[in-house]
Amino acid sequence: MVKLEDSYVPLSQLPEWSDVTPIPQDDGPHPVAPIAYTQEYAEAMDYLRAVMKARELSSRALELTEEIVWLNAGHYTAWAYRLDILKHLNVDLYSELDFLSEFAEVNPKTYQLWHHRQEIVKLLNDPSREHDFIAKLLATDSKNFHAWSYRQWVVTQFNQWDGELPYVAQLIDEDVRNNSAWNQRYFVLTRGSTQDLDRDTLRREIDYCLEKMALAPNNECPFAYCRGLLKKFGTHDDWLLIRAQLRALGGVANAGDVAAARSQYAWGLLLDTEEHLIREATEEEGLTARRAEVRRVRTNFRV
Amino acid sequence: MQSAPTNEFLTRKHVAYFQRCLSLLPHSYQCLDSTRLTLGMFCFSGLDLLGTLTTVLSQDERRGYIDWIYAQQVTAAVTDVPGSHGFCGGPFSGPMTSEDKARNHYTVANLAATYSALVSLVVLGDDLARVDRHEIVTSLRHLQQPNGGFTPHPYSIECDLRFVYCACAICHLLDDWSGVDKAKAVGFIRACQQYDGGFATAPGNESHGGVLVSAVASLKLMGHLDDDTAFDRSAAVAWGLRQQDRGFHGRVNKEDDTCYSYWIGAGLKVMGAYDLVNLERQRAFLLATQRHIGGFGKAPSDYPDTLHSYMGLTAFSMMGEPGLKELIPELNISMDAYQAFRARQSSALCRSSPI
Ligand SMILES: [Zn+2]
Repeated sequence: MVKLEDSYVPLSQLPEWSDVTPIPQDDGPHPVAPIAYTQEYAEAMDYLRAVMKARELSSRALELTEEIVWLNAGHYTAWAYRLDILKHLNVDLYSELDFLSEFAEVNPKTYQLWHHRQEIVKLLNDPSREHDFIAKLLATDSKNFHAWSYRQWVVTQFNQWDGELPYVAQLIDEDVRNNSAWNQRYFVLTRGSTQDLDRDTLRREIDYCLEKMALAPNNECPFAYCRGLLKKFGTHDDWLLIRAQLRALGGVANAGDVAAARSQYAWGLLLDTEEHLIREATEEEGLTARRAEVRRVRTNFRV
Repeated sequence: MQSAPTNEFLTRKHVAYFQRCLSLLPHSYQCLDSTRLTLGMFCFSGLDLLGTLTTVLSQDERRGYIDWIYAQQVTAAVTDVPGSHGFCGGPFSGPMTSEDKARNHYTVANLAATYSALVSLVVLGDDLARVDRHEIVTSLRHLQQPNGGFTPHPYSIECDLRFVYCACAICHLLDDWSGVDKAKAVGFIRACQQYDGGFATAPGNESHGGVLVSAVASLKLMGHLDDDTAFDRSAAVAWGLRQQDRGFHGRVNKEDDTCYSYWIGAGLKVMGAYDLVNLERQRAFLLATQRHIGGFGKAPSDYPDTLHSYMGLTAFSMMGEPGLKELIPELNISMDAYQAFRARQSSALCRSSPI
């Protein structure tokens, strides 16, 4: 692997680069936000410009792109160029996956890395290594946004929905405040918002939320998740159920009983529930008073 | 990094900080080498919000910077690759010779850089006369995907809300929407609103504060902010407000971070809900991330960086800090710079059209 740190030898001294004329960067007389480049980076870029201008699809150019992305992971055209070289040279793309796995451990939040990997896996048409790769990164940072978004692509692209719910449930068990896992739960159950929930699943999810709410009443995740499910799939009975449960959970008798509320999220969801039921109701007794009460609470407490 | 929080907004230190960033950044910024135009935009807009752009930069310097920005423009004379016209993030791709276009195959503009370039030019007092409008608009048409989202450049499969916003702001500044299918773009934005009311970078992903303003500013610029079918406004407002602890955090149960006082704060401002932000708490948090050498860090113990410094500044502007210019949240340009730009344009129009 070419990762120049201690043993830096200028490219200009390497015989395999002697036929290339490096192209320096032209910043003009008024450079905007110039960067004090390291010597390695400045030189590698001079050579990269030369081979990219020549569209040289060679193995030395492949190595050079590797060096560049280690020094500047966000160099987006270097990644595009690298992909072109890989396709042209017909190299073993599994070794590219190995490189990317190693690279991801150091630079897990580089956008280009994830899209490059997606391109490679598409070419290979083989997702068999992806779950381990992603799980390893999520073990280090269970909220890595890129890893989750990539996981959604893998699951969808290769129809790997089975097994996803138990995995997500396990992560929520490990950390009930992991909102990325909650989001993935919604994603799996609705198949990426393409599928409705049946009655049994919805009731099961509401129970699941209630259990997690009781566990940590000041955790936003289950409240937001529950609200989302109810708004999209809930019936009148589901809303009535959640109102009763929230009152019990929050120890509040009505939406205005702020002082007694143990959880701002329980209380916020309860308000939304009241509002929803008011909208649905037609001639229920005391409707005007309830509506006024919700409005008063919202105005006073800005929710 | 330790520095005792002060109760003051350090105007003069911030001016010096942006001046330093504009003239030389340390090598830790090397990973942002492809986005120098955006770093420049933070500096120019930062100095503009502080009201010092024309006092600390001479007219010659401003002209010089304008020329540097135009030197990053990828025109039809440089390449024929569809979708590649606009601005490149810096001079890293090498000289744009027009003798042999094949040599410029990897010289492609990027929507984020094009947006940054246009904003910087407006702020610096240019009238965009040298911008190749037609080519940029044609590129946009090429970069919009079937799902309505945009990729940043023709070699990318990264399709998300950030680039929808860049496209919308570009169209607004160029007064030409012919490169965007608005209905599709609105559809993409709608698909990005998640079950919890927040917006995700792409459909299905976790709601992320970084794109709240992208979503609602795009809708506003397209004239769909009051369209109930485009998004659930009250859910978006409620989500944004729930992300305030002291400052704002970008995702549920994450730590507060200076930049979300812009991303989420500006989103709330666009939706007309900024009066619901707890300004005292936010101010205390931002004063803690403000550094005595100027600039802002991401969190109270962090070194300052260009992005967080600019975002911290915008938050103080939105909170009405005396001495700071007013920001147009959906464009991320000061009202002052924007109005001056429009005035320059209409006087140029008067000169060119016979009465
Ligand atoms: Zn940040």
